[in-house]
Amino acid sequence: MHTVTQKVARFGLLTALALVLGLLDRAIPLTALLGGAAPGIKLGLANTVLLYAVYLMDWQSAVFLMLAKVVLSGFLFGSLTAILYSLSGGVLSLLIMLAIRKKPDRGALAAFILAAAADAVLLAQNPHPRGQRLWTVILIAAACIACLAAWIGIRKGKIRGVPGTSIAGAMAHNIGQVLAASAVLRTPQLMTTYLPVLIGVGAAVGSLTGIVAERVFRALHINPEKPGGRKK
Amino acid sequence: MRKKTLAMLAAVLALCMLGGCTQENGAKDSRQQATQQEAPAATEAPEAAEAAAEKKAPAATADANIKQTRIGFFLDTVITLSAYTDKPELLDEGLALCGEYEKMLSRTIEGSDVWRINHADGKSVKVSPETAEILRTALRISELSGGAFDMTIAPVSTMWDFTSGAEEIPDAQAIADAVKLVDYRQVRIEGEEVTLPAGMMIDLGGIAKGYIADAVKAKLAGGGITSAILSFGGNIVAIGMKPDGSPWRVGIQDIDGKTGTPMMVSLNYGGSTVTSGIYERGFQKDGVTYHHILDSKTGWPVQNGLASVTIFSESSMMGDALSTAVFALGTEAGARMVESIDGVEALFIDRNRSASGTSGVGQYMADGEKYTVLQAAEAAPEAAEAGKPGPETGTAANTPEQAALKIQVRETDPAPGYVLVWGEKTAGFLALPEEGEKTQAIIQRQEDGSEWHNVILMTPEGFRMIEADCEGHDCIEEGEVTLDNMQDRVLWNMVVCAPHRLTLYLYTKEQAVEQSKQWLGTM
Repeated sequence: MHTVTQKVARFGLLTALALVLGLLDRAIPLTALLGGAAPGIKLGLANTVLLYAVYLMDWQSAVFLMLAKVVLSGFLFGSLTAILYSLSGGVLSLLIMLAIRKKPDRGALAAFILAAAADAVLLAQNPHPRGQRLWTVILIAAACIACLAAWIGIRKGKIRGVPGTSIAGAMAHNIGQVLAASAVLRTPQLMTTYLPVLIGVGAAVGSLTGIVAERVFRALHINPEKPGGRKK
Repeated sequence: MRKKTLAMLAAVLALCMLGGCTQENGAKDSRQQATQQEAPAATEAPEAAEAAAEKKAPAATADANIKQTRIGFFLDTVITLSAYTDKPELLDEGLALCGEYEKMLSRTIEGSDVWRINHADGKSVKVSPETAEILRTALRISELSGGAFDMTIAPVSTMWDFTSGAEEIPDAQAIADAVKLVDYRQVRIEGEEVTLPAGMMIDLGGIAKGYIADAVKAKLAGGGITSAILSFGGNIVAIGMKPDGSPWRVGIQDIDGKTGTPMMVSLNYGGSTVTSGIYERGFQKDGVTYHHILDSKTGWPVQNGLASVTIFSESSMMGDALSTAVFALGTEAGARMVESIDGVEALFIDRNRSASGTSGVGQYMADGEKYTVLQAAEAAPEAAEAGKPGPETGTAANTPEQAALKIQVRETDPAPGYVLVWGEKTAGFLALPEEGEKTQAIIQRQEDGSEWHNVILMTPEGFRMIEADCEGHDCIEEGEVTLDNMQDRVLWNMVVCAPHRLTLYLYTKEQAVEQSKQWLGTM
């Protein structure tokens, strides 16, 4: 039995959780760990909250949570420009996740194709990369394999669909951000240079957060494929 | 209740984004009005000066062709074509050409290219190749001047009435609303297809007269005329010298606006002289001069102590656009912008009637004129000691110090490479040092007075970001770009500071020269 109070409490908790996880995302210096090769990348742990909302709440709630997270963390830790970037990423990502939550295998397949294409684009630009770009190509190839594994796993029923949705959402998030950034910066070159990289990175971190979310659901005895259903 | 909150959030966001997008541009409409009003002023000034000159050397013209003059009225401007020729029909053709271009470029004539763009409601419009070319040049100058010149100023400029004598100041809120519709970056030009968001308006007044002046000059010169002075409002264009071989004398109008009384006399050796001044159109109210050169960011007249700016250049279109942009930038930044372009000089007259000019302005000044030469602005300060230069020792990349960035790069320049600074409202090159290290701050002033600071360290091989007051500092993490590694970095030749809306590119000299030519190409 859901009362208004319950709802408010739930939203408050989820928003707070998203903000804290967002802070954790910021605290993990992924960019620095990767030698500065790819600026602005984060693990996206806060996305697990959105995954929860996508699977266990209605779409309005998911949209509300996303907006609250973007706006609040923007004002608390970032700037107006940062809000602009994360908003475009957030909207695109949420749309994709809502669209494919029932068919996560397709999301994983699409993610695999995108990541493979991104790797091909990178290789085509410079057939013999060295330095940072070589590592990027290798990383994205690995992300490709992760997507493929997720697809096969979901198809065969070995894993549940959350990672598939998560991967597609993370990719969409990054695509949205690069689109916004290249418009704001008036730097269309980002589309050919950095977009492929971020697609690959999206696949990698998306599978990570997807697995985390899946674990959390299991620990809470929630079956995400039966929304509202709570296994006792 | 949740829905309400949601809606409010969405509204706030939308407002923020709108605000962010719209505040930037707007000062260019000034030119349009400027040129129109200049027309009587500047046209007569040269005539007066010219008459004076003729008194000095009347004999020389005797054997030449007779002076022929045609007067027309196009684009709200009195156009006077005077040439020493035995083919006066060429002048008639010149006037006819003005009429053709007016039908293409006028904002008010129904069916003109510009009218159709403004009334397309966001749909794309096919325009003539000439219009497309002018629009491209206008966009380029808008970019180079960081929006000080903005061809989409019309929503604001049409609110101001400087001509009827009504002397009414528009409603501040209405101006604030209209200025949101000023943003040259919303203009899309693909081939001859032009798209403008609904509600926005283009006015080419700040550049069209220059373009037409260049076109008429080309036509007359092509017809064999070797000595002519053509006046298009504030734009004076000459062909060759006067028949006696002396330069044309072009008066620069006195600040009090009495048409025909030049405060100074400048020389024209067959090029273009364009003046933008506050006296051309405007009115005084409560001790404030409201004039037609509008700040594209606020929608209000630019108040920076300047009375007029005169640009001496080969191309009148460039002079036309630059005069507005340089006026809006102010003396210091304007002078730097002009210094960075070959073959262009500027003369600044402030409201106390004192004149100053860029390094090469002397050649355009008649004997006996008093003016000071502004120190050539060599921007980049050296690092105090290799290490930590505070941003305050650097040079701002946005207004007003923006023009420290070079627009023109020549093959003969010694720098081994260049950093292309591509900020929210600024663009231009910084030269890599030939040896040693050099630090350079890039400061972008915001509407609210705050500043975004980035500091780069440049070496002969490349550069890296060493300081930034953005969140995250990812731009610093991005490491060094060198001429050697730029093919192998994830971001290629770029260093991006996304929160500061700043992209820095490393360019080889060849790439920089190519880009520079593209920018300056059609000017």
